[in-house]
Amino acid sequence: MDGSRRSRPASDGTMVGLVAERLARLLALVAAGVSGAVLFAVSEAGYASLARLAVEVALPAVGVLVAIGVVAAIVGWRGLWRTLLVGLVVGIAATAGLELVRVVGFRAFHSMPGSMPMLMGVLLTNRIMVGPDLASNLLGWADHVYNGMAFVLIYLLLFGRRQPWLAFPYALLVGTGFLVSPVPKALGAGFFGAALGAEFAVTVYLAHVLFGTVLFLGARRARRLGVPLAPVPGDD
Amino acid sequence: MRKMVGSFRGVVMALALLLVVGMASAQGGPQFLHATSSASFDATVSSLKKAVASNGMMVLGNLNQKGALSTTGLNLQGAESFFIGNPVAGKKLFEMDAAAGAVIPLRMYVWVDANGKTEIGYFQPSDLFAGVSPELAKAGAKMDGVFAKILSAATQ
Repeated sequence: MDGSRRSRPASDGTMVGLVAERLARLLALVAAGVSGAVLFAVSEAGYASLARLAVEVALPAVGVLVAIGVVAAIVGWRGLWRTLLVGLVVGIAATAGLELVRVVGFRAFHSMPGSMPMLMGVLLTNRIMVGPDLASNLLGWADHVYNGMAFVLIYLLLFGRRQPWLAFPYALLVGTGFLVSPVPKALGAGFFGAALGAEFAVTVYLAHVLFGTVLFLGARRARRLGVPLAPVPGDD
Repeated sequence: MRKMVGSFRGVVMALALLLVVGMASAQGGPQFLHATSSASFDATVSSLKKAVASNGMMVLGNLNQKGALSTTGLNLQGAESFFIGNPVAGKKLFEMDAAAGAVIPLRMYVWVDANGKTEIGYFQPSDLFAGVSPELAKAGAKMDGVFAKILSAATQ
C-alpha cells in the first residue's frame, strides 16, 4: 500500500491519538450502520414506527457523525475527515444513479411497488393515512439520500483502501439485503419481490449495479487523487 | 271476537318477526371473528404488529379508542383499532373497483373485555368485500387466510 496515501493517525502521532482515531472510525462505522436503511427494515418488521426510530436512533447517529467530522477536521485526522467528505459526495451521486433505474422501472415497466422515497416520507411523518405532502416528500428524499451516503461511508470505512472493484459485490450485497429484508414483504411484493415477478428483483439489482458503478468510480478517483481514505484496524 | 282479533294480531306479529329474522339471516351480515390472548394488552398489541409484518402487511394507522373515549370520562382498560393493508394489495383492489376504499384498509381491533382478558377481533374480509362487489370477494377470500394467520400468531 502506498505510504503517501496513509492517513496520519493523529496530529500529534501519539499512541493516545492513534487509539482515539481508531475509536472514532469505529464509532462512525457503527453510527452509519445503525442509522441507515436498517431502520426501515426494523420498522417494517413491526418493532417500532419509522418516525420513532428516526428520532431515537437516526438523528442521534447523524449527530455523532457530524461531531466525528468536526473533531477529525480540528484534530487533523485527515483520513477520517476526507472519508466522511467522499462518503457524502459519492453517496449523493450513487443514490442518484440508483434512483435513475428505480424511476425508469417504476414509471416505464411498473416493476416497483411505488416510490420508496415518498413511502419513507409518509412513514417518517406518520402521514400514511393521509398521503404525502411537500414536507414528507422532502424528508423521504433526504432519508433516501442519507441511506445511500451511509452505505457508501460503510464501504469506505471497511474497504476504502482496498481494490475499488469491491464496490460491485458490495452493492449487490446491499441490494440482496433489501430483497430479503421485511420491506418488500410489507409492501405486498412478497419475499424477494416474488409477488411482482422477476421484474422487481431485476430492477433492484440493476439499480444497485449502477449504485456500485458510481461507488467504484468514486473510490477509484479518490485513490488516484491521493485522498487518504481511512484505514480500518488490521489494514495498516 | 275481540279474543280472536288479538290472536290474529299476535300471529301476524310473530310472522313479521320471523320474516325480519329470516331476512337478516339470509343477508348474513359480516362475520365477526375474535380470539383471546393470554398476554397483556400492550404485549398483545406488540405481537399483533409483528404478526402483521410477518404476514406481508403493514399497520397503516391506528385509532386509540381508549384514549379518545377518556375525554368522555369512560375509563377503558384497553381499546385500539389498527388499520391494516399494503400498497401493492391496495393498488390492485382500487384498480378493480374504487369502491373498495369503503372497506380497506381492513381493521383489527384489540380490546380488554369485562373479564380483563385481551381480545383481538375483526370482520371477515371476504364478507366485507362481497358487500361492495362480487369481483372483490375473491380478493377478500385471500385476505381471510392472511387475517386468520395474523390472529393466530398474535394471540399465541
